[in-house]
Amino acid sequence: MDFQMRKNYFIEKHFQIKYMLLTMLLLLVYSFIFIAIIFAPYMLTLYFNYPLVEKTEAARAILLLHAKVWPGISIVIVLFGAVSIFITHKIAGPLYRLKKSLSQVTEGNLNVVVKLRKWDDLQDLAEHVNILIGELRTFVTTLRNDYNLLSEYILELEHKIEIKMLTEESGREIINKVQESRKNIENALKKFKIQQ
Amino acid sequence: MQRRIKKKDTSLIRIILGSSGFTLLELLFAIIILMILIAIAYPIYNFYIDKANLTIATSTLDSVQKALESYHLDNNKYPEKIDFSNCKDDQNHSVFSSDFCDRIKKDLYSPVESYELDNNQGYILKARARDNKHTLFTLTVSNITKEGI
Repeated sequence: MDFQMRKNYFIEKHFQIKYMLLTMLLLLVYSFIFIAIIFAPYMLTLYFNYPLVEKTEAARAILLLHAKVWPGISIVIVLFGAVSIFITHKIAGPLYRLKKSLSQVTEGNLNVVVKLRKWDDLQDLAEHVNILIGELRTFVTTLRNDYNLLSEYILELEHKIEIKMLTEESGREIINKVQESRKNIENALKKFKIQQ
Repeated sequence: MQRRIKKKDTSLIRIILGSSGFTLLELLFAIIILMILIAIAYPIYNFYIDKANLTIATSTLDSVQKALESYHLDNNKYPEKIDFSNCKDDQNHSVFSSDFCDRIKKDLYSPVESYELDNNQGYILKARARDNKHTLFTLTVSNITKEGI
């Protein structure tokens, strides 16, 4: 495992900006409800015919909140927007790595192992992808081995035909070997289901 | 396919529309609701902030009236002039306590517009509230009047 900190916190711009916007929007809605609830009693006192003393108290409370609440809320929203970048980064990092690894696999490189950092999310997914790549690797190895064997048998057969040494017995022997390889390939293929 | 993955459009709208998770419609809906809420709430909010400022001005002037009344009891006259920067009259006597003086400066739109004696019978004090329009209040011995009412 590689425990180094990532230097770039904007790995997946699309993904991270989208969730930053969503976080800020949610916070804005939340603050809205919060403010409405806090201000409501004071506003009601101002609206109805209460004695001047009570009205003054309510007015002072409203002005105090007016002065304190807005800067606080702006700071909180900006702060959480920034925090959401760090949080999404924990997901975006692994996603980026998985994407890169998978595109390498698509290009044909099956020696890829997805490694995530210790604090990253999606470890489980990375493990599954590693298992998948491992399975593909075994499959390709089986196919390659049997391909080599089959090539050998064909050469052998050609050679025997050339020197006219092909007896029924040796022919059957080669067919048996070919059957064995065929069975290996069949077993390897059995694992994969494709709709015909 | 390969080319489509590699070619990324980084404009903000593309970012929002670009992928699933939450769709454009959902986000638009949320933004529209928020805008409507803000459009409704902002004038109401401002109205109450103004109302709060006016209430505080009324309350402060009410206290000023009482303080001047007690000055009148002590000195048998209203102060000729009041310097509102330190709340002292022309003979350098305090008209208001220093706390109350600070409160006047904080609660009313400073400086206080004018103070003058009214034919030696009373006084006329003009001050503005801290609301958006800086509403003018006129304080006399017997009442407080607000501009426009």
